[in-house]
Amino acid sequence: MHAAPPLRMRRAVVLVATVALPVALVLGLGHRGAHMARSLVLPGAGLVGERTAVAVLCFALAVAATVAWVRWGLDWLLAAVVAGSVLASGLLAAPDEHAAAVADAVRPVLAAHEFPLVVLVVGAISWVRMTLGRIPGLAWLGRRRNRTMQGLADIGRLGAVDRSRAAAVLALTGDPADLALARTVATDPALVLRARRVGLATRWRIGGDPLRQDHAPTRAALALTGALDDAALARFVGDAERAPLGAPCSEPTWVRPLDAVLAAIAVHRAGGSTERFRQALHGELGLRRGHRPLWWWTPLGIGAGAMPGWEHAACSGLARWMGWIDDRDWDDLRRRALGASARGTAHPHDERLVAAARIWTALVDDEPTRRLLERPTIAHDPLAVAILHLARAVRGEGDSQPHLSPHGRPEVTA
Amino acid sequence: MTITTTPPASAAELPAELPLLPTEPHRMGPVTRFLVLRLVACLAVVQAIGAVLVFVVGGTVARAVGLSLVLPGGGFLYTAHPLLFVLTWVAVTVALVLWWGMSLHLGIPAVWAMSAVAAGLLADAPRLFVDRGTTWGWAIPVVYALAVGCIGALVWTFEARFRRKRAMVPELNTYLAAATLPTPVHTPREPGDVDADLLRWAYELALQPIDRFDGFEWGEQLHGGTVVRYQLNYLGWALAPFAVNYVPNAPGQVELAMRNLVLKQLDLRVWRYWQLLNRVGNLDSNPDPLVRDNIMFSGFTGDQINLYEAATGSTRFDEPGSLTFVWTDGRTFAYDHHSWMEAVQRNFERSRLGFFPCEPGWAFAACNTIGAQALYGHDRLHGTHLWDDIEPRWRETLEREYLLPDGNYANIRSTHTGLSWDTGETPGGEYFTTGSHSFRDVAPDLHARGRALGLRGAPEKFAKLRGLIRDGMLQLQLPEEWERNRVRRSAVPGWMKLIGGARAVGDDELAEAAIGAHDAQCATGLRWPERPLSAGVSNVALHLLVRWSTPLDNAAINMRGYVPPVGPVLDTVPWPEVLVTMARSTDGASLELMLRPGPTPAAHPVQLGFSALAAGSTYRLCGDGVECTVVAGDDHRATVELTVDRPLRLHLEPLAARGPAEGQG
Repeated sequence: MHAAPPLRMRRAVVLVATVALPVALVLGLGHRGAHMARSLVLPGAGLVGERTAVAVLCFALAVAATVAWVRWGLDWLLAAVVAGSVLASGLLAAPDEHAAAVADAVRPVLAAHEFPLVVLVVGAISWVRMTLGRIPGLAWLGRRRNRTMQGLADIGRLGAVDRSRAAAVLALTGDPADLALARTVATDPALVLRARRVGLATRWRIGGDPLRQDHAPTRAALALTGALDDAALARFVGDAERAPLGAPCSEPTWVRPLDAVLAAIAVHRAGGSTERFRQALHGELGLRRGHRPLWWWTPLGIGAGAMPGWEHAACSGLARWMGWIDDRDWDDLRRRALGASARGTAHPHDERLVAAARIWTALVDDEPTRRLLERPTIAHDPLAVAILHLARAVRGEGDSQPHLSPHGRPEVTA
Repeated sequence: MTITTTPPASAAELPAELPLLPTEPHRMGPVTRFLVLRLVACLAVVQAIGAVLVFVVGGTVARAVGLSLVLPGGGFLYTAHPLLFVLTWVAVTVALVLWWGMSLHLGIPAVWAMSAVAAGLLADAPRLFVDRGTTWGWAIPVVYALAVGCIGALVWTFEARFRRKRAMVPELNTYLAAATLPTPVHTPREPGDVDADLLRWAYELALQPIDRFDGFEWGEQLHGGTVVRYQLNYLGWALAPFAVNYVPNAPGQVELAMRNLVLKQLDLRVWRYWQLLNRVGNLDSNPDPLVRDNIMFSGFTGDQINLYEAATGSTRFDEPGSLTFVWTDGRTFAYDHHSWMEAVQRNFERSRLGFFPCEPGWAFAACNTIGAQALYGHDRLHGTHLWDDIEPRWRETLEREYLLPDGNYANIRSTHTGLSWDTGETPGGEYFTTGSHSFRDVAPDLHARGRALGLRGAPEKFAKLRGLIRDGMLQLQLPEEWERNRVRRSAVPGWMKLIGGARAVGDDELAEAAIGAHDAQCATGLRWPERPLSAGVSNVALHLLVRWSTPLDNAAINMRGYVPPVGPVLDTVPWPEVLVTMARSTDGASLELMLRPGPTPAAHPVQLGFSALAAGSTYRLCGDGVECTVVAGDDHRATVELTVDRPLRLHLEPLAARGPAEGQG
């Protein structure tokens, strides 16, 4: 990925600061500085052995702040926790020999800087979450919720982001009933309330339109359902066109590809330019070793992670439908989608992946896979059902979702 | 005409001469002998090493190891660790169960070897209750006595059974030489209320979405009574005779139901057990369920696919990739009807014993007969020679490796050790005929002999039951017995034997009276997803198979292949509004129909479509308050709007044709 000049400069400054700050602390403040540098690497590390309880507290706060940062874009809290733990390390560390401290501290400091470590923590949290989700028993608990879902009738049980995504996807099907439901969901005051809370917590935005910036899925849903007035729509298009990747962030500083695609489609339908976003699909959000990045962090222009299969399939399927990418994603998604179809639709991610893969099978010439992916019945997770509706629309089938009677009896599809 | 009333008695049913039993039977066939001798040689080597350690090397450690080689855990007895001796035998028992249950072939040898190693390592360890270093010298003769006792008991059991059976040969051959076999019942039945309930239940099970299994019984999937693949097999087998005998002129609903039952076999939950068994039993992690062993799946479902094609004429599973398995990681194993059967044939060809295993290491006569039926049926449908190529070796295996002196066949044989025993699945672990067609298609002569042996004395016993018939119903209640999955007790299996037996001795009246009594005792009146009979899904399905297998049973269908219907065909029936329980043409021109409200009846008229009518002819549809006429179009079709809000027995017949040039469709 080739960063634009301002981004490149910003990254260089951050890199230099990241290396220089710990060294400066160690050299400038001696033993205290060494402890502070450790806490810069890992919040609380500088207090281990001196104030272990405080160290644990700092670490726990850092993990929580990291989760909040990744989830809602609450970056200042993480910065505050890191700064606080560095400061606490400096204040609470016992004085010691200067030279020994330098030798002691420089080693780890030179080997690391804080941002990758935080990323590692985030990755670890995500990995633990996925691993736990696969353990028999816990996996059953995870699937239980999905089993009780009744498709679009339970769309209100989805989280706000997935609800917005479902509404945006439904709005794309062209079916009047889907559009009506999408509009109802997209205009739910709870979505605006969430946006207001996130804006307040992350950027101290008080008053005004809480959706004036970021919140790509919600704004995409509103735009696609025609729920934005002309001014808001123009603001949305302008915001997208000014954004580094050509699509607004999902949460402050975080661009998530699926939301970005939905937003880009909305921009396209509103007559805006998607040129920059299409470039990003081949660049910053491009396919690498079978995966596309899970997120792109705007301050430094860094993309990392790998989208879950369903998100990748939905995102790339939509982009392929729009003609923005070619079929290479399908080569990598095909087997993952087949695996999901074999595992069945008990887990929402599998159900969404199969549904999203059906968008792909409507677009590529892969009849054997299409037939295999038709086996699972998608009827539980509302977002999966919404994606299925879109897949059928893409295929030109109209609304042919199986109609289950109250006791689960289907109409026969011969 | 479509409906076959009574098929001509085939040579298989009334043979001129029944094959007699060998007068000087061998104790075991050549392959079994080789396997058993190999096992004996291995045991002899182990015993020899044990004896050398005990009597030549000497010392506490060597004796402990040696005695544990003589008898698992025997060394613990010598080193005064009786608790460890008991624990070893608990482990041996567990390993034995896992050997049978999960094909854990290394279990017993591993426990045996570990007991020897552990006995050596613990020879000088502290003991409970006795001093350190204590040895019990008396353990040496005791261990040898136990070992000899175990081997002796096995040999005596085998030899006594063999001699007892061999002694029966002259008497049995005398009987076979003079036996006259009764003609089985081939009378067409008319479906009643219970038939309709049973059919509705079967359709609802089958016609739910492919990945839904509401109403099926789930439990362990290795080879217990809750195995879903067998439930699907039995339902598929049961619907085949229904399609042929009851609704040959309305194949739409039953074809879709049978198709879905095959497609459900491709669901990962149904066949994923195989990777576990393959890993444990063959040390092979390939999840492909057809490529190696697993005839309990490949043979059974292969037979199900044949019957689907023979009953409905659909060739959809002949299409490449139409039977594709998908593993959790997205790997696919693509098969079709042909390549499926070729996989079965390759397994037969590769097997040293001639029969190939269900679970790794365990070859069942029943499953290998069903596998043979599958190859036979495929040949009948497609003109191939899969069965022809296998048949001589298959018969040789059956007659030389599995036949017991009295005409029974052993149910099971280990392909590693050659051993066979009563697994508890069939009385005595043996049977005169097996497979779901009782050899009738694959070995008609052996079918006749087995039938003669099985029916010895049966006609007299069934004749006594006739006295219990009052008003067409048998005044009898059968005791409930445990089903195979031990979940519930049911009288259905007993009734199946009685109905099947009455048909086998040619007593149609008794068979119908038994069906009536069965319905009175076992019908629950419940609807899917509950069960309409007080039995598990497997037994309900097997009951359907027995109930609907006249005039043609599956053996006859397998031999016959597909015969398209003649006469008008009811080809458009809305489901779930309408259930067709009978559609037969007895004269090739008219149609006998029985319709019932489906699971979701419609209060308004629904459209029924007829095809294969004489173009331009006027047809009259009448019966049960219905009276209308329709004219067949040039496409030989006509539609009727009808409210099916009650059971209707209808008759469609031609009134007049447009002209002599107009032929019948």
